[in-house]
Amino acid sequence: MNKHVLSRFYQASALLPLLVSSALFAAPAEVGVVTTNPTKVQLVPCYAKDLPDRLLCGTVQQPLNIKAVKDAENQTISIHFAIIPAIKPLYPTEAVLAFAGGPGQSAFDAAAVFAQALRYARENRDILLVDQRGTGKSGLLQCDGMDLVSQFAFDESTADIVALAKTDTLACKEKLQVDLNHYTTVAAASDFEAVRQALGYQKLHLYGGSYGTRMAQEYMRQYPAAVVTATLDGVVPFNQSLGALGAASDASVAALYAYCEASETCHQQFPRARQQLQQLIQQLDAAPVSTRVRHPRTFALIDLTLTRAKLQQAIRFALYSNNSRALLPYTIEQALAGDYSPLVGLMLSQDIVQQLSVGVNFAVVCAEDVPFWTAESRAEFAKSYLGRTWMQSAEASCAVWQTPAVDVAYTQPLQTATPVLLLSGGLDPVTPPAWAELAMSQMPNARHLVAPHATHIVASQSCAPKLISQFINQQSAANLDASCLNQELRKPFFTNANGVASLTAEQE
Amino acid sequence: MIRLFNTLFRKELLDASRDKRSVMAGLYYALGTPILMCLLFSVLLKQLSSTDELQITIENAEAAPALVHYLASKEINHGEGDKVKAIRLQLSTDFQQSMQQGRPAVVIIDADRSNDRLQSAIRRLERALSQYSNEVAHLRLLARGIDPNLLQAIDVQMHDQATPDSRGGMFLGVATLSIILTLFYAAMNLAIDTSAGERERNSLTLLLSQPLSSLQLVLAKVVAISCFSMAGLLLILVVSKFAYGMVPWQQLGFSISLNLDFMLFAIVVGLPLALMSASLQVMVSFMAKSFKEAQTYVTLVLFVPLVLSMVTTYNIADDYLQWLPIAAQQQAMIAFLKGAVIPVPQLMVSSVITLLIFGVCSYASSRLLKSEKVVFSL
Amino acid sequence: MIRVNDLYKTIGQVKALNGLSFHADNGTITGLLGPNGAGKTTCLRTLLGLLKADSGSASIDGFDIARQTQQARQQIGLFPDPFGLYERLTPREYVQFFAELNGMSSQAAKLATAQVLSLLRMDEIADRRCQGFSQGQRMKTALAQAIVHKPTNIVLDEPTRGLDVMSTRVLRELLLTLKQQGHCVLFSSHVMQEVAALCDQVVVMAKGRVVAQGSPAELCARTGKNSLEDAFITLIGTDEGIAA
Repeated sequence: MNKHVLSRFYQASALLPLLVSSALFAAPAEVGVVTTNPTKVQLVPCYAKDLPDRLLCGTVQQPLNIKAVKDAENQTISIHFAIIPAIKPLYPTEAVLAFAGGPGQSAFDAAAVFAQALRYARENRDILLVDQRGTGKSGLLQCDGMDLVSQFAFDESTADIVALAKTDTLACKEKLQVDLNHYTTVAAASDFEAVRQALGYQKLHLYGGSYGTRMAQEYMRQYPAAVVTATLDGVVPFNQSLGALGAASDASVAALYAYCEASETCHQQFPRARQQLQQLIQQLDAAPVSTRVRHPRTFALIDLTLTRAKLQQAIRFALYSNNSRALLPYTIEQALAGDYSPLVGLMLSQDIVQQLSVGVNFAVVCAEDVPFWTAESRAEFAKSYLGRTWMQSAEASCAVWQTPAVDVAYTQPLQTATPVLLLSGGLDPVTPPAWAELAMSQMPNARHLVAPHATHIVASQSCAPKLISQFINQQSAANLDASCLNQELRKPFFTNANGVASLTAEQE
Repeated sequence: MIRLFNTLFRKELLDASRDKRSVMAGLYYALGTPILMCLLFSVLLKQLSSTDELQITIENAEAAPALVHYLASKEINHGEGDKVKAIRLQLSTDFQQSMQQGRPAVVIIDADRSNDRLQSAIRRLERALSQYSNEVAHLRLLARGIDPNLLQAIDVQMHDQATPDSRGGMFLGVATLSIILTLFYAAMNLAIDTSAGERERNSLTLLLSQPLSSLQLVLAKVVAISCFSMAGLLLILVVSKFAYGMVPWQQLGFSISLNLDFMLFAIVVGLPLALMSASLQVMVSFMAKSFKEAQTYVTLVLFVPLVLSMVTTYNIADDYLQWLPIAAQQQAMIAFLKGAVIPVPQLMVSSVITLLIFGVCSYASSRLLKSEKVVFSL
Repeated sequence: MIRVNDLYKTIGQVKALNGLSFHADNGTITGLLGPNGAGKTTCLRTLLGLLKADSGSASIDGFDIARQTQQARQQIGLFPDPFGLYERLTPREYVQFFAELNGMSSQAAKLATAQVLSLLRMDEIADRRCQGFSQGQRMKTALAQAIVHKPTNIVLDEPTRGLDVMSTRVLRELLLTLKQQGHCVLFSSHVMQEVAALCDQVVVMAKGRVVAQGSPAELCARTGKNSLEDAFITLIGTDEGIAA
């Protein structure tokens, strides 16, 4: 089978859902080469997708095997980074280092998202984006996925997922020919430090989103002296397996339907919304629907084998954004009535998965997650459909990769006195607020802020960019006025294909 | 020769430095302009960026609560009282019905577009409305199983060559304009006082009766005045550094920072200009018959640098203008601030021309002092 | 020693100097007497090289003013009318400035300035700015400026104009001292008594030329009048522009 389905399952968190696929790598412009003072690194002007600003890009060479004794026999890996220059560099020796999610997303590809989320922080400090080893331009480890037409036609219900995951992973392993041991979170931290030193920044403020929060925490663990503040947005603690994502997703669905029931228009239009969802799931569980739908882009009639797996994935990704959440009750009702067009629309949002690094994803899952599962946690994951399927295919694939586990100390929560700001969205389908509470147990200077109506990555949907900038400037979260996070972000439910103009009574 | 020049120069410095009114007039300019600009820019930036809450009048808000809510999330609200801008947003009564039926729902923006103070607010409202429209349209397509990206037939990716420092554009022009004009305004009163004033107070005849050449006299005056011009320049640079430092440029995505390097550069570039400015103004003052007349003439002559500088500031210069004094120096300063390549040939040529003008004006002044008509205002 | 030889100068339509010749010797006070518009000021300006004669020459201690301007000027101390003070400078600064302009080193200029200021009993006002000085104080400052570099020749343009009695006496005494020291003193005036009281030699000017030259007594004798005033009127043929 296909990488695509697998990698979809492995998405612990396809972070920054605003980022749409097909990253456009900036061709280094043939402008003069700039060299900054304390470095021997050459900086070349460059551009990132959807961001008109002129950035400065460069690379540092890092040993592939960070534990190798002899340098001579060690391969090197080229680590690519980009600087979004401060608008008014009041603190030239400081930078905001932003970590992308995934695991496996390229920070450079997400430059526009970071530039937006950190736009106030950028006023006085550079933003530093480093492609984690194995992602983006730092030796991307990618295997081919399945195109949309075959994906739609594929029938997961009849295939042996575990067997397919195995063959598929074998093919990928064959193609990449890498030791994933060199691509774990633990191994990647030193690359960020090398970039920091090469550029001569004395202090860093960290910003991590989703899996990036874990990378940020690992960097703090290894290089505590370099970090002044850390902002963790959509927190993934060390002491939390990604397998719990199923429960998080289910909770987010529950919140959505509770909201529909509280909304007069939604409740009037879809009085049985919750039951309808259950009904559809049961029907598909019993028998997938084979039908023909229009290709969302070509408009050609194509085959769709609608399985429970497809439905659950579509819902899962629809939960990432308040806009697509508003479509859900309508979509389910239409599907029950035999019109699958809205569902096809929601299936499109899975496109974000495309650019993720399969290698890094597996490295994190197989070396840092799977080895530490207990009977207890397995039972916990198995409670939800998503957790169950994710667990099965993860185990199948990791058996192929044979990546050794990282030290068990890795799964201990980070202990740090550094000021930390944790942000969570109350509706987050992957990293619920409870995860942040787990992460901060050993952080005396941490503050956790929850935006009740936000989904994944608070900085992309609320007033958080301002708070982050204040936090960085004050180097303390104690005095932040977080009341603006309570802003209503949810959208009125679509009651037909054209949408509605009215809100719930609660909002009015 | 040198000793004589020194004596003359010292006396001019001493005399001019005690001329509180003239010195202060020059320094007020150097001190006041950046502060004034700072206030002006701050107000202007506020209008341009307007990140604050925008209050407008929304009519028939109950017709489209979702839209009103969306606008509120962009900090555009219905308000009452003084802070409300003269913009009325009228929502059609059948808004909701049109929405449901998939017809365009009509909203009317009722405002005076020629009103400068409303423009950015109007644009902001239009932007928010179009974002909302887009958002709904995207969801409508999704609900039909169509990729909303189909609406975007081409994906325009902008690669902006600007650096944060180079974005200041007009602001940089105005800032450098004020810096360069200091060299002229700080000199103006002193130049008139030391020439037309010296004659009106009858000390000029006495001076010319002394064993010295009129060129020495003129040069001493010009150099002394230039010293004050340069002091004015130094002052305006320092004041500008702090004043512009307080303007919240970053909200607009650029910055103007006058660092030490720029100050040194401005001083080097400004020195020939200071000499030219002093010699030009001294010459014009000598040509006038009286103090009052000199003031009129000098004021008129100062239009020339002003125009040259304006032309540069607003970027309406022909190519050949870039080689002229003032324009080229200002261009170079702007380039320096932007971190762009400094037009060295233009700067060199214009500096040479600047010094030539200084030479010509000084020589002409010394010739004037040999003329009976000029000395005795015959 | 000042020599003026056949000077002609036309300013506009007016023949300001019309064949003017005279000389003023060292150790002598020479008065240049003439009605308003006789050409006294033009004569002095030409003598200092500020105006160029159309023809004729003038020399100071043998230096031709047209050709050896700077040397000639160095031999002259000028007491101008008006004084041309720098209001913002003190007499000390002012006098020292002119001393240095006339070639003294700053050390020598400082010393000479101190001397001349005490000679004129100006110590009290020496370090106050000239702004607000009385006419007498201004006169003294101008006088100090004229003699600080000890020139052989001292030229005074209408020196007593606007002076009170005390100041006039100071000036008179100083001029007599200078004469005794062997300086050549030349002053222009249209005040009869001044000239009568001070001058050894009187040059009577009218319409740009010398009408008569000699000691006051000689002039009286020549015209057969008892007073210089009467003699003067007889000489120039009118009493217009004469102050008694």
